[in-house]
Amino acid sequence: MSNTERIVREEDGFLTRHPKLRMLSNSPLAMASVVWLVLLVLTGLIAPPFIGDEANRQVLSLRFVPPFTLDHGFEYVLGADSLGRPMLLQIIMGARTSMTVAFFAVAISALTGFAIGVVSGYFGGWLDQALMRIADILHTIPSLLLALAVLYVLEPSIVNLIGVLAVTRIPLYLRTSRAQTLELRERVFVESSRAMGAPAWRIMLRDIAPMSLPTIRTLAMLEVGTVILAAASLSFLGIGLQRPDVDWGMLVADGRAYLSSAWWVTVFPGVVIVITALAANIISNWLRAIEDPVQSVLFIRKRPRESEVTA
Amino acid sequence: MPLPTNFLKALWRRSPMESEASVPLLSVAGLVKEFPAQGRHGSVVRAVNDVSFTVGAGECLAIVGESGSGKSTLARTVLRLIEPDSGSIRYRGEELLALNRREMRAARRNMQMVFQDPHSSLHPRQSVGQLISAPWKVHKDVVPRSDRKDRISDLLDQVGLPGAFAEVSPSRLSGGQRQRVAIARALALQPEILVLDEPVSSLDVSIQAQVISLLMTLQEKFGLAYVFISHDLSLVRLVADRVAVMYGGSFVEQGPTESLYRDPQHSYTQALLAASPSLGDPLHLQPGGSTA
Amino acid sequence: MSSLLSVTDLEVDFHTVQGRVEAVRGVSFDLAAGESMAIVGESGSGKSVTSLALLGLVGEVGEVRGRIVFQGRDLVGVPEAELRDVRGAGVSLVFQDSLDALNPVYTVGAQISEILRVRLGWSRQRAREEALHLMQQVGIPDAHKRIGNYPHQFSGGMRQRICIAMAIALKPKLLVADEPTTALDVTVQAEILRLLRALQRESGMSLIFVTHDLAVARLIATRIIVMHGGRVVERGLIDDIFDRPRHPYTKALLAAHPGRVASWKDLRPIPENLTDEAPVDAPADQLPKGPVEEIAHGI
Repeated sequence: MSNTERIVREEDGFLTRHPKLRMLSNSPLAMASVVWLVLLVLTGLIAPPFIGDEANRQVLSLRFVPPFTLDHGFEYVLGADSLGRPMLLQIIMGARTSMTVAFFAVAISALTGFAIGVVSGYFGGWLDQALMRIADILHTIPSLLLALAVLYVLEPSIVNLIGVLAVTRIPLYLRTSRAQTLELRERVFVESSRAMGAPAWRIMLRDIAPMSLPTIRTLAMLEVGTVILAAASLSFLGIGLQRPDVDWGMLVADGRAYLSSAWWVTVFPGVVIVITALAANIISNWLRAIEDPVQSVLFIRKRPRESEVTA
Repeated sequence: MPLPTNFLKALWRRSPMESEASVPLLSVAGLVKEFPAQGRHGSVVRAVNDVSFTVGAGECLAIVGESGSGKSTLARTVLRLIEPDSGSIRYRGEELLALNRREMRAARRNMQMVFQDPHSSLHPRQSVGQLISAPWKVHKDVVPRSDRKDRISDLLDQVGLPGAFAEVSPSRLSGGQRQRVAIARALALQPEILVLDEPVSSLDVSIQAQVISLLMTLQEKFGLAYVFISHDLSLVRLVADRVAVMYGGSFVEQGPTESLYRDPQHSYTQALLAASPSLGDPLHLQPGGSTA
Repeated sequence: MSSLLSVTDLEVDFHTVQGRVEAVRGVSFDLAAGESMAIVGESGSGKSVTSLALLGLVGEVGEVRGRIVFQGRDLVGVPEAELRDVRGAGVSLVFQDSLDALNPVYTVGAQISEILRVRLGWSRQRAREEALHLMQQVGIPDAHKRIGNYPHQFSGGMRQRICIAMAIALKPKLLVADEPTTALDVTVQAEILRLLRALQRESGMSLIFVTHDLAVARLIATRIIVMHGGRVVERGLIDDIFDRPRHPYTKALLAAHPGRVASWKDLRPIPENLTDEAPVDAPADQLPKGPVEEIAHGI
C-alpha cells in the first residue's frame, strides 16, 4: 500500500457520505439544539397567520387559568395571562418576533462589520485608523444604554429595534475580521495573487473573505443568543416593542407583578428565552469543535464492531 | 498528439523570435532594498545591497544563500512584490520600475513566481481548476473563456497530473502534487521567466526529484528562463547554467556552474560547499553532464 | 546484552472522518545504550508517528498496539501519570519546529529551569545555574546574557539548541529527534549534528534520528531503518545500506537524491508501487553486537 492509501473505509451508507450529519448524530446536545431551533423557526413562520387573532384576544373570564390542563382547549395548556390570553400562543407569536429581530440584527451587523473590517485591515493606513476610532467609540458606550437612548428618542418599533441592535454590535465583527485580515494578508496565497497582478478588491473578495467567514459565522451564531436576550431586556424595560407586537421579554415583564400567584405568565417565556439562547450557543460551540481536527475525533470514534476484529 | 518543440516555442512567444544574443531577457542593476533595523532607531538593514545580474532567454540562473542572505527578498523585489529603494530592472530592455500600476499589471504576464511552500501558496478553499484559471480572470485577454476548460486540462497534463484533479481541493493533495499545481498556475499566463523561490525545499528528497525533472523538462520544452533560488548546493548543480552566491545582501561570487563548484574563489562559497552533506564521492563530470 | 529499547510489532491507527487510517504497521527494532539509529522515510511513511508513539504521545487521538519495552518495561497502555515520569528523564523528544516548541511568552532560561524545578524539585537558584550550564553545553554563546532572552530573539539554529538543552536537562537515556534540522540551513545543520554527536559521546545517550534525507542520516547514525507505507522495508548498518541497498524502495530513494547523480536527467523519481515488495532484514551476522564505534564523517 502506498503512503496515501492506508485508509480503511468503513461501510458505505448515508451517514458515511455526510460526515457532518454523522458527527451531529453522535452529539445529542447539538442534535437537540438543532431540533429546537428548527422547531422554533418553523412554528414562527407557519403558525402566526393562523393563531394571531387568538393570541391577542382578551378573554377576561379565563384570566390566570393555570397550566397543564386541557379543560379550555389546547391553546391554554400553558395557562393564561392577566387578560386571559393563552400563553402558548403568545409564546409562538413571540417566537416570530424574536427570530425576526435576531436574524436581521445579526445579519446586518455581521455583514457590515465583516466588510468594513476586511477593507480596513487590508488597506491599513489612515483609513484603518479612522475606522478603528469610530469602532472604539461605538464599543465604549454600553450597547444597551445606547439602545435605550435611541429608542427613547425614536418610537419603539421592530425596525428601530433591529437597527439599533445591529449598529451597536458592529464593532465585534469589525475587530474580528480586521484582525484576521491583518494576518491573512501576509499569507503566501495572497502574495501569489499579487504576483499575478490581481487588484485589491479581488484579493479581498476571493482570497481573504472566504477564510474569515467561518469565524464570523460562529460569532454570529453566538450573537443570536445575545441579541435575543438584549431584545428581551429592552422589551422588559418597556422600550422595546409595544402591543400588538409580542416579544418574549415583554411577556416576562407583563407577568412580573404576578410571580407569586400566577408564576406561569413569566416563567414559561423566560424558560423559552434561556433554552433558545443556550441552543444557539451549543450549536456554535459544536460547529467550532467539529472543525478542530483534534476535538472532532470525539464525535466520530465508535466502539469497534465484531466484524472489524480480524486475525 | 505532442506538438514539435519549435512550434510550441513560437506559440509561447508573443513577439517575433529575437536572436538570443541581442538583449538579455532580464537585466537587474544596482538593486537596493533597505528595511528599518529592529531596535535601533534610524538605522537600516540592507536586505538587498547593490545587486546586479542578467538572465538570458532559456537560461537558468541559480541564486544560492542561507537564511538571512536576502535571496527571498531579492526574488520579490525583482517582481516588484516589494518595491526596491533604488536600482533598475529591465525586462527586454523596458524599465519595469517606471511603469505605473496598470502597466505593471500587464507586465506581470511575462514573469511569474513559484513559491516555496505549496501548503500556503495555494488558497485552501479553491479547487485546483479555480487556482489554475485565476490568472486568466485577472488578465482576461490571454485565454478566452470558452477555451479555459481545455487549457486547464492541458496544463494539468503538462505537469503530470490527471485531468480529474481540476475538481479537487489542494488539501487532498500531497506536497509534490500541490507544487505541480503551483507550477501549472505559474505557466497559465505563458510567461518567459519563472522566478522559483526554493521550489522543492519543503518537499521530501525523493519528491524533489520528480518536481525538478518536471521543471527542467518544461524549461526545455517552452524555452523558459529560470531564476532558481535555493540553499541546496547539490540540487543547484544539477539545474543551473550560472550560479550567484549571496551573503548578507550581496553577491559574493557569480559564474558558470561547473567552474564555481570546481574552483570556488570566495571563502564563503568554499564554506558552503564544504558543509553540504553528499551521498558519495564527488563525481567527476564530463561537459554535457554525464559521468564517464 | 539487553537493549535499551525494544519495539515489537508496533501498530498505530487514527480515526478520521474518512475512516480508519493505518499509520504504522508491524514496526520492530532494537536499540542498545549509546547507539544512534536513523529512521528514514518520506512524508506519510509513519516515521514521525513512530517517534511520537515512543513517548506515548499518540494515545489521545490514536490507538497504539504492540510492545515498546524501554529499560525492561512495556510502555504501551501505561497510564498517563507513569508515562510522564518516563518522558524527559527516560526518553526525550526534539521537534522539527523549534519556534512552535517553545513558549513565546517566557524566557528561555525560565523554560529550561521549569523542567528542573517541576521534575526534580530544585530551587529557583539552583535550576537557573543548571540552565546556564546546559545552555553553555549546547554551545550558545554569551549564555549569561541570553538566558533572559525570549525564543523569538534567537535564530533557528540557536532555538533548536535551546530545545536540545531542554531535552537533555533530565539526562535521558534516549533522545528522539524528529527532523530537527530539516528547516535549518546547511551550515547550521552541520553544527547541530556535530552537537548531537558530542552530547552522545559525553553522556552515553542513545539517539533516534528521524529524517527524510539519507545524506543527513549518514552523518549522524550508524544504523538505519527505512520506512514506507507504515512499514519497515529495510534495515541495517548505514554504510551497507548505501553500498548495497536491497529493497527496491531503498534503491529508489538513493537514486532520487540529487547528491548522487550527475545530471537532472539521471534523477529517478520513485514509482508508486514499491512497498508491495516484502521487507528486507539485514542478516543476523551483520547486526552490531555491542556498543558501536562512531565512524567519523569529517564534519
